[in-house]
This record gives sequence, C-alpha cells and structure tokens, in this order.
Amino acid sequence: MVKNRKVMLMALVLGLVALLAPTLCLGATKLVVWESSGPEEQWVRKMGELYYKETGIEIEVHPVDQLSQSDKLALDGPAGKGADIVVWPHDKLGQTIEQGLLWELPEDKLDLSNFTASAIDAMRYQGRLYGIPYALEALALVYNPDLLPEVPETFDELIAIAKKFNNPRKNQWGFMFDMLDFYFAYGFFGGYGAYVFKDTGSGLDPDDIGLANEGAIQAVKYLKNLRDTGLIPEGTTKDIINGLFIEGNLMAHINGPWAYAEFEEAGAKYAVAPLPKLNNGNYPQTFIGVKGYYVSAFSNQKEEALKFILWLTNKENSFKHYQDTTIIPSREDVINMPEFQKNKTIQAFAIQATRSIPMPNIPEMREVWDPMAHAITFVLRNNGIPEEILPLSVEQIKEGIMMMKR
Amino acid sequence: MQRNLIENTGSNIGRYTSALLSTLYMGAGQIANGQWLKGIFLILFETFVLIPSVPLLLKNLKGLITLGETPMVDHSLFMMIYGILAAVAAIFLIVCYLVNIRDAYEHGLAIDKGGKRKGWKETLSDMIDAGFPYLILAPGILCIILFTFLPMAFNIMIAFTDYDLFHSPPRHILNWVGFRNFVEFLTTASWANTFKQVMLWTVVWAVLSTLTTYLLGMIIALILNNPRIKFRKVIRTILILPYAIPAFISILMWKGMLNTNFGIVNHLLTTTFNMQPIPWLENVFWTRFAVIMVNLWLGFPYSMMMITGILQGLPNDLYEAATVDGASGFQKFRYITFPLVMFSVAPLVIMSFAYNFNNFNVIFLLNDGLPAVFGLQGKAGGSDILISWVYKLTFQSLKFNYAAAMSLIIFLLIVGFSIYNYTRTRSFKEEEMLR
Repeated sequence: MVKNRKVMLMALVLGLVALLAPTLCLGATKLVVWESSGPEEQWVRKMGELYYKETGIEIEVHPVDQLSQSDKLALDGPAGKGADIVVWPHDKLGQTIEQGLLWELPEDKLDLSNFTASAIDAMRYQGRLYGIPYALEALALVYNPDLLPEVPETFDELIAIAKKFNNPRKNQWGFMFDMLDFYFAYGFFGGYGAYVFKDTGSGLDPDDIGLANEGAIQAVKYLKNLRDTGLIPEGTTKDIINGLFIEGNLMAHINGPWAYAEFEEAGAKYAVAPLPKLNNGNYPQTFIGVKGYYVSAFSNQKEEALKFILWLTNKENSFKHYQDTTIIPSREDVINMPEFQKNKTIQAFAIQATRSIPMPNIPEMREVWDPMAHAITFVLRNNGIPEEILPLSVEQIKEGIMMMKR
Repeated sequence: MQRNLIENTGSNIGRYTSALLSTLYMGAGQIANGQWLKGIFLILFETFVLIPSVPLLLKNLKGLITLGETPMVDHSLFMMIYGILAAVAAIFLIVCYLVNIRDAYEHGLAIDKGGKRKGWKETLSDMIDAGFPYLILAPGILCIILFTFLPMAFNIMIAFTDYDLFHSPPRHILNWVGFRNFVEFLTTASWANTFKQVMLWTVVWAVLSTLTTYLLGMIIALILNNPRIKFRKVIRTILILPYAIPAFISILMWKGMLNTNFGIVNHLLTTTFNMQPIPWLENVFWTRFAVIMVNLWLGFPYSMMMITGILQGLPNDLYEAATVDGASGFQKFRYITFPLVMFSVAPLVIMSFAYNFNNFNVIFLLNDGLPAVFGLQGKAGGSDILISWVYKLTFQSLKFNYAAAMSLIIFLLIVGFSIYNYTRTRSFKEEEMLR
C-alpha cells in the first residue's frame, strides 16, 4: 500500500510538472504582436523569426489593423487575450493611456539619444514615455519636376511661379493643398508662431491654446491670399489634387508619404522637397505623425516585450525596416547614413520631419479639428475677418474640451 | 404505485397545501398531488439547474448594479452585458418557478373538486399541445433577446452612465448617474439654439425627402403603367438602376460630380448654359437642395417599383365601371387609383419618414453635414440632421453617454410619431377601404 501510494504521488508530481512545464516555458518565451496586415505584418514576422534564432523567444504576429487595435485591446486585454506589443499612430496615445491600455516605459533605463527628438516627444504623455517610435510621417512639397525644375527658397517665390503657370481655363494649376484640413493648414500656423497647445515640458497644456494669436491671424491671412490669387479655388479636395497631379496638370502640392504609392502606380512624375521658407524667415512647422511600438498594460512579460521592441528599433534593424517597407525611420543615426541619403524622396520627408512638431497626442486635440476647419472656411468665404473669427473658434474649442471632460 | 397523498385527506385545502409545497421546493407540490414523474423532474431541475445558477446570477446582477469594483480587472461594459443576460435568465427562472406553483395549485384544485389526477402520459401530451407554439418560437425569441433586446438594453443603460473617454474601462469603473446626461445635454446654453435649428431642418428634410421620393415614384409608375408607352420594361429596368448600386458609392460619386469648380454638374452648367457655378457644397441652401435631390435619385426607384406593383394589382372592373359612368382620366386617378395606392403605401411612407429622419448616409457622405455655418455652435453644419450632429458631437469627443442619451431621445421622438400615425392610417384600422 505504502509503496503504491508513493508511486501514485510520484506519478502525480510528474504529471503536474509535465502539465505545467510547457505552459511555463511558453509563457516566458512567446510574445504576441499585433500589426496591420500587409508589408508591416510581414516585416515583423520576418524579424520575429530572426529574433527567435538569436534569443529563443518566439514572436507571434497577428494581423490586426492599427486603427482598431486599441478597441480590441480594451476588450481583450482584461480578458487575458490581448497582445504584448501593439502599434498605432501617436495621436491616439493620450486616448489609449486614458483607457489604461499602455505600460509606462522605464525611461531612465533606456538610451534614446539616437532617436529623432520630436519622435520621442510624440511618444510622451503628461511627461511620461509610453512607446518607442519606428516611423514618421511628415508633409512635404510634392511637385512635378517637368513643370517645376527647381524648388525656390521661399514660399513667396513658389507662389509667384505658380501664379504664372496657373490657368484654370486650360486646366493648369500652380500650387494646391487642402486648406480646409487643419492637418495640412497647420504648417502655416506653426511657421508664423501659432501653436495648438502650449508645451509645458511636462506635457501639453490644454488650457493654453495659441490658435488666435498674431501668428494664427497671419497664417489665416496667408491662406486667404492663396484663395484670392485663384490658386486654390473652392472645392479643392485631396481627391481633386491627386487627380490633377497624376494627370500632370498640377505643378506642386503638399502631401504626405502615403501618396507616392498611388503616384508610382499611376506612373506620375513626381519629386519631393521640404517646404520652402515663409516670408518671416521660418520654415512651415508641419505636424508629423509617429508610429510607435507600445507594451500592453495587460502583458505579463513587459520587460521581454520592451527588449524585443528595442531590438526591433535599433540602428541596424531600423535601416532594414526602411529598406523593406520604405518607412521614414525615426532614428537620426539612420537618416544620417550615406546609404539612406541616396533616396531623395524619403530624405525630403525626413528633413521636413526635423522642422516639424508631433501632432498633439492628447485627446483634447479631437475638439480642435472641426472648429479650426470651420474658422478657415469662414475666412476663405468672406464670412468675417481672422481677428474676429479665430477667438470665437478658440472659445468653441474650449467649450468642446469642457464638455468632453465634464 | 402512484399514490395520491392529498386525495385521502378528504379536505378542501389540497390546492393550498400543494401550492405551498411547490413554493418551498419545486416539484414538492406535484409529488403531493401524486404526479411523481413531473415532481421528480422539477426537483432535479431546481437541484441541478436553479440552485447552482443562483450564485452566478446574483454575482452578475450585483455586477450590473455596481459595474465593478477593481479597475483594470473588472470591465464595466462586460459586467453590464452579463448583468443584462443574468436579468433575462433570472426572469426566465422566476417564471418557471411561478408556473410550477400555479401548476401545483391548479392540479390540487382539480383534485379537491374530485377530478381525476393526470398521469404522466396525459401531462406529456398536454405539454406538447400547449407548449408546441412556444417550442417553435423559442429560437426566434432567443435571437430577439440576443440581437435586438440586448443591444437596445445596453444602449439605454449607457445613457444613464458616465461612459466617456475620461471614465473609460478598463482603467475606470463606470458609474450610474441617473438623468444627468439628459439634463447636461439639453441645458448647455450655447447648444440650445443649435438644437432648434438642426431639429427644424431634420423635420423638413424627413418630410421633403419622403414626399419627393414617393411623388416622383408615383408619377413615373403611373406613366409607365400606361399600356401606350413603348419599351416599358426597358425604361423600368434603367430607372431601377440607381437603387441597385450601393448607395454609399453613388453618394460619393455625386459628391465629386457636385464639386463647385471641378465637378461635371457645374462644368455642364457653365459651359453649356453659360451660368455662374452653383456652390453646391458651400452654400446652405444649395447643399440642402443637393442632399434632397441625391436622396430623390437614390430613393425613387424603390417607391416606383412598389407603386407599380400595387397598380398592377388594382381591380380592372372599378375602372370599367368608372368609364361607364363617364369619369374622366383625372377623376379615375383621384377617386380610384390614388386612394387605393395610398391605402397600401401609407404605412410604408411612415416607415420611410422614420428612416429618413435618421438617414445618416446621405447627409454624412455627401457633404459631412457641412457647410460650416457661422454662429452654429457645437460643430453643427448647415446640412446636419439630428443624428449626424449627434455623431459629431459625441463620437468625435468620445462622449458615449451623451450619444446614447441623444439616440434615446431621437428614438422616442420617432416612436411617438410613428405610433401616432400608424394608429391613424386606415390600413392599420383595417376598415373598409373606400369610404
């Protein structure tokens, strides 16, 4: 009997170990990553295999669209089914941190000196770091080299050249961009000294809105001037602009890196340059979008996940990332590499990115887009002068924020 | 084998005893009545289904009330959904229990009155007879509970919570706030004026878009119903095409075509007719005109086909009699065709009014509710209807609680209107048609 019982006990212990061992091992060596299906997902999968060979840590990539990851994580995370590493554009950062989805990274233990400073800023919320950036998206001047052999130094010169070429009757257009989209229009606001939310050093201050100051008034007047010169008539939407550019009827326009795939496919001639200087000597300060890898707050292998992210965004792999999926890397040491500087298109976006600020990542930004688009609309349609309309818009933004937080 | 315990008492209180016993434990009364099999089945049901599920139900019902206690662990939205399901299950179990008591009582009554107790065979056949409709309905009812009742209950409940971005689960636990959302939303001073204007346009839009589609549909159906028209089938097929194309694609096409400086519509107007370009998407009046026209283009084929169907089913003898009486063509239409068509169509007109009241697609896709109107607060544009305004106001700001509260108000408005009109239509009253 006694012997029997011992054997039983042994068997039980062995069974337990056999049951637990794989789960323990798996738990420690498998990281789940969500990434949009397509080139990015394939890239992470490919790198995951490399990482597995190097470290023995398995990387499992699930195709989840970047823009729907936060909703999915909010539901799957608490249930224990979420990913360890998630990806989305930085303008959703504040919102997702308010939802409690992300883990704050131990910044004092990290060396971030080689990353583009504005990209790291984009990963901060209320002064704390939540992600490691891997790609940038900036706006730049996209032009037709046949029509515009050389990009002038200043915007005023560009406008002058554009005016000479502009001839609506012949369907020839000089310079265009979607002025009613505040994302595109902000370049002028920032260049003339306006700001959306004051950067206090420990995060953006949603109570300090600089969209009705001198610079903002000047910027809107500049936009009004573009309308009055006949360059950008009513109804100039992004689709129209892309269409005209592909047809070869548009000399230059403002666009982002997402557009050139379309131009390449259509066989359109294009070249990219940073935006020229404004008449106050400053460059337009556009918004950049930053994509980063974040660690889920629900992950039970946060440290391992962070290690993988840091490996994925190191200099060597960041360059590979650029080679494979033509992203604009968020590392200065990559942008300065001689191999990188051969690609003029990407380089133009990268230079513009250094002259940009991250799009505000606090959720209050959601209240800014519509009132500002409306303010620009009112000025362009002669419903009032900027000095009167902009303060009213700022009031609307403040009211919106007040309602949002109530 | 089957003894009747109560039969032998010879008293008149058997029904109360068995009802009381069944109240104490399911099936006890049935056993007292001598229905052993049913009693055992019910006892098993209480022992293995009802009692074990009580803690689970209580836990989830408590979750519905507290909406969770520990942030990051308890997810208020899940707790709410489970709570609703638990409430449904609890109601079902309570009904089962009550039916069990009533069954014991009625059976006891029958025995008290000297009736014969029912054997299990009889009970089974009774159950199949009486329960058959419920059995057939069960999948449907289950689907209604899951796919209609649950989302609606969820929506209604969100309207009474503080669910917005800054109180989002899993970081925060939701709280019940009573009618605060409704009060806050309706009393924000700068929105009150906007609300009035948006509401007015919404009603105008709903009436005009419904009337225009049905009018045009009827006119074309009447024309195409005339046997003297050639190629009727071909014309009808061509006219049905706008309905066959997915609406949101054609709306986006229209958006491009109506572009002020680059659209084909203005191009035609300026080159062929030498007119000034019309600001379709920039001027409030023209945008409203454009959304109604685009909706007309999208919607008339449906009413045309429907009215064609009705016209073809009209009894010919009415017209023959009218001709004999010397009625003119217009009189035939006025006194025969129109009333008969309206009799069939009226409920559908009410339904499409309710649909158009909330016709988000056309408004949002054609011009995003724009143009911006100077002085309108809270993001509203000139062609925004209630539902698209609420979308901008709440979803862009992630105020899910306001969104739920507002959609509840819109829901009540439409329900009130629809009920009022339905009960007034003749087809609802099922009176004789032509009086």
